[in-house]
Amino acid sequence: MREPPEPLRTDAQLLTAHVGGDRYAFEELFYRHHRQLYRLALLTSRNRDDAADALQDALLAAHRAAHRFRHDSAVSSWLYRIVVNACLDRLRRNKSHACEVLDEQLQLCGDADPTRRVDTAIVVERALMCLPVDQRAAVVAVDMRGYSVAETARILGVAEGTVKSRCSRARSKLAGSLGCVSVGADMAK
Amino acid sequence: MGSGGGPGPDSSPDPDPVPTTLELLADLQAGLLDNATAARVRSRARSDPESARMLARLDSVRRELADLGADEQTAPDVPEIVTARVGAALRAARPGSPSAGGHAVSRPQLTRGQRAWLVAGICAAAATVVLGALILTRDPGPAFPSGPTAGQITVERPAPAGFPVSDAELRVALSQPYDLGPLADPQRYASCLTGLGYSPTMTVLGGRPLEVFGRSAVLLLFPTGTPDQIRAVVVEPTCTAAHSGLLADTVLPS
Repeated sequence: MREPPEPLRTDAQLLTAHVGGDRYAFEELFYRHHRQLYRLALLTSRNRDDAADALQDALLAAHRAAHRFRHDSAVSSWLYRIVVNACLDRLRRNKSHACEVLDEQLQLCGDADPTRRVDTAIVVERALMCLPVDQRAAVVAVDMRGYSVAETARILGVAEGTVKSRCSRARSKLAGSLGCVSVGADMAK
Repeated sequence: MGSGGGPGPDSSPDPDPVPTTLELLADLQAGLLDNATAARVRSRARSDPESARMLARLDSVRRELADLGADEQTAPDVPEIVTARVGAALRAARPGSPSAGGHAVSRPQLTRGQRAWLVAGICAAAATVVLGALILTRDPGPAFPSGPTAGQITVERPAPAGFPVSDAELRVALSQPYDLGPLADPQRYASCLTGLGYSPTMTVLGGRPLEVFGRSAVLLLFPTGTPDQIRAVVVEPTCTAAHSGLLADTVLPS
C-alpha cells in the first residue's frame, strides 16, 4: 500500500507551493486527503467508475484553479467542494442512469452486521450506500457538506422542492436503518 | 402499539386525520409541509413522546452525516488504480498558472508525434492483418515462446511468460471476426482505450470475451506500429477510462 507523504507542510503551504511551481506539491495534497475525497466521490456518484472519473476531473480542475483559491476556507473544504460539485454535475448530466442500484451497494447493505461493534461512521456510510443515488447525493450535499438547498438544486438541475423531498426521504430511510442497527446492537449485548 | 391505558376501540378518533409518521416528520424537517400542516405536526410532536423520539432520530441522522463529512479517519482506502490514475494525471498536468486558462490534461490530447504514430499505426494495422493471416497458416512454433515445461508443450503452450491467454486462443481471436463482448459499445470501447492509454480510435485487430484467472475478461489485439508485432491486452469487462482493469499486456512477435 502507498504510504502518504510525511505531512511536513500545511495544506495551504502545499497549495501555495503548487502555484509557485512545485511539481509535486499538489499531488502530495491529493494523497493527504484522497481517502475522504474518494469517499465523497463514491457517496455522490452512481458507481465506482463515475466516482473515479469525477475525482480525477475535480482534482485536475482544482490543480488548474489553485491560483484562484483565496484562502478564505480550509484547503481541504475547498477540495471537497470541488469533488462534490463534479459528482453532482456528472449526476445531472447522466440523469437517465440516476436510479441504478449497484450490486456492490447491495452487498454493502447486506454487509452491515449489527451484532458486532462497528464504527458508527462505517455504519452510516453503509446505510447511505443503500439509498438511491439521487437521494444520497442530495443528503450528502446538504447534510454532510452543508450546501444550501438552493445551491444543491442548481448544481443538480432540479427544483428546490425536489432536493427537499429527496433529503426528506433519505433522512427517514436513514433514521429507520440506523435505528435498526442500534437496536440490533443493543439486543446483542 | 397503543400507549398504556389507551382508549377502547369505540373511543373518539384522533382529531388530526394525518398520522404522525417518520416520513411526515422528515417532511416537516425538510420544510416540505405547508404552514398549517407544519404547525399541526409540530404541535403533536411536542405532546407525543413517540413523535418526539422520531424527530430526535431524524436530527441525529443529520448530525451523523455532518460528523461523517468531517471524519477523515474512517474513510475507506482508495483502490490503488484510482490513486495511481489520478496521481499520474496530476503529474502530467501543467503546473498551476494564473495565465493558463485552457485545459491542462483532462484527457490526454494527442501530440503531433502521437498523431503521426496513430497514422502509422492505422497503416500498420492493414499490414498486421496480413501478418496475422501468416501466423495462422504457418507452423505456430516460432510465433510464440514455448512454455517452460514439457507438460505444457504437449497440452497447450502459453503465450509469452505470464500472459494468461494461450497460443491457440490468440490465434482464434486473430482468425475470427472480433467480438468485444461487453466492450462492443463504441463509447465503452473508446473509453476503455483511453483508460489503457491508447487513442480512442485505435484499430482493433481481434478480440473476444474469455475467462482468465477465474473471472470474465476481454482479450484485445492491437497493432503496435511495428510491422512484426501485435499487442495483446486482457482487460476486465468493466474497462473504462477511469479504470481500465488491465489484467495482462504483452507484445507478441510474429
